Amino acid sequence: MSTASAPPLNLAKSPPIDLPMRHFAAAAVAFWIFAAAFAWGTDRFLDFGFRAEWVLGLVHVLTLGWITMTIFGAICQLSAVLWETPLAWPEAARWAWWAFILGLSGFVGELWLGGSRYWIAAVLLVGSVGVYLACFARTMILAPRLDWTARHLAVSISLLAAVIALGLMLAWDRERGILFHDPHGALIAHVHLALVGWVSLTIVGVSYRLVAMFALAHVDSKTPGRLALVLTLAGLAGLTADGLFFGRRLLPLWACLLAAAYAAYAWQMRRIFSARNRRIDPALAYTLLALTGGAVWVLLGVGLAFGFLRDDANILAAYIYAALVGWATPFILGQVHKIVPFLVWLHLFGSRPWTAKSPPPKMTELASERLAWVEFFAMVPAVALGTAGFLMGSQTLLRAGSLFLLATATLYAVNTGLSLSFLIREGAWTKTSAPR
Amino acid sequence: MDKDKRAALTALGSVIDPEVGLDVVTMGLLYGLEVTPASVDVRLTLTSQGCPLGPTIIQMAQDALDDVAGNRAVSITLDWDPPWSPAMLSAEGRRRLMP
Repeated sequence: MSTASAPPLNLAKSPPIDLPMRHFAAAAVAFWIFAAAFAWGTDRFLDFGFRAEWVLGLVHVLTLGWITMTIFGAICQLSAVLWETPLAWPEAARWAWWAFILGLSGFVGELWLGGSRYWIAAVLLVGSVGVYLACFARTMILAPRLDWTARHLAVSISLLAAVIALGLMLAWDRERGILFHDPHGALIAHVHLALVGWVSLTIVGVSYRLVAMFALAHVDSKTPGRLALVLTLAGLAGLTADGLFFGRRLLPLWACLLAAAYAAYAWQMRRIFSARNRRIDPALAYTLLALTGGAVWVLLGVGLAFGFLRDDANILAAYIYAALVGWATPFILGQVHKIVPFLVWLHLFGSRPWTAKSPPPKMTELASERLAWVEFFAMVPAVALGTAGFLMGSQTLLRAGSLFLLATATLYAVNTGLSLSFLIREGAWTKTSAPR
Repeated sequence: MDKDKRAALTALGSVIDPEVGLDVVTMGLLYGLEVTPASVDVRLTLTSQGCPLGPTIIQMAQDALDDVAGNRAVSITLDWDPPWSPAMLSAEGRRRLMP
């Protein structure tokens, strides 16, 4: 007779696997569209005006279609782990995904075609984000506790609501000029609420958990990370209020606070990397690239705030490019290279009976590490040449950077598709993942 | 170490963490192993309390032990004290992860 006791594991049920995966797949497509359009229309980016619809649409493909879509997918999956609570209303999140796709497509399409009804799609987009926020907020309310990463996400999700609200007000006021006495200051507040409050705080919070886990690093002290959070919130609050109400008088102060926050974060990450017990793989290499891109972004921000750099379109574009392509994108690429094969493995092989004679496949077999390395080495010049191209106003450098970025996006789409193909082949796309 | 305990240890050595690529013994996840004429009692930990691979790894350990336990009852208990840290990796595990 052989019996086995059921071990007490406090794991919340994950959502059906198609929920996170549809986000990652759509995000990969958005990243490729951005990279292809950027490579095709590089000349439109130099000396662009902030009212250029084509550039405005493309930036939203990157920020919403690529970055936000990936973050939403990751939160849908990670809620069970981070908050020890199943995602609230997963069906609503699935409908929100459709609304988000339609809204973003309509919004960007109208902008690119020069239409004036982009606000209809924008309403759909905003409504879908509202549903996501409601799902995440409800999940957090039901959570027994919020760990350090989850607290970062709670703040970043709240700030996303502020980003959307301010974005709507800016869009409404675009032709009217009633709401903001300093529209450029309001735009700076909107952009930084998005880049720092939503994207960066999410990345920072997730990095403490995932990078430490993937690096097998154990770091007890969170002092630099706590300092980073306090400084980020202080700098962001000051910058937003200054941009909206006080005529941008203290920009150097807020830039210094945010730079200090980044230094504290980098200090925390240095501890994680120092304590690592695994060789550098593509995911960790991407994290190091993101940390470098983030440092460039911060330096450009300080340079702009103190007036060391000209406040012209190309320098501002370099600043935004460093944030979105130099900082956020490599971090996302690195984590998704781990998350997607992990989920596919868990879903397909996690509940099968394995023996020593027929061991389960390794997760690395569900994606190509070699392809991921090639992709990484295409991403490095994409970040460097793209940033330099904007800074120097060089069409040649920008074109080269954009082609490397297109190569990265293509290889990433192929590698993500490779992992997802295992699910599709097994007909397991919509089944719920559940521990045996 | 008696023959039965060695067999149980070998069986646990076949339980591979699919993400890290190391078995639970080399990872330092095995906190205790008692083999009596009536039972095989195992105390295991995981790299973190929220580890999504936890149920899979425990099931794999149960399946592996079932093969060698004969008529004994297999009992696997999760032990979080002390929490796992990379310091618990065996020298062999450390060498394989950081060649």
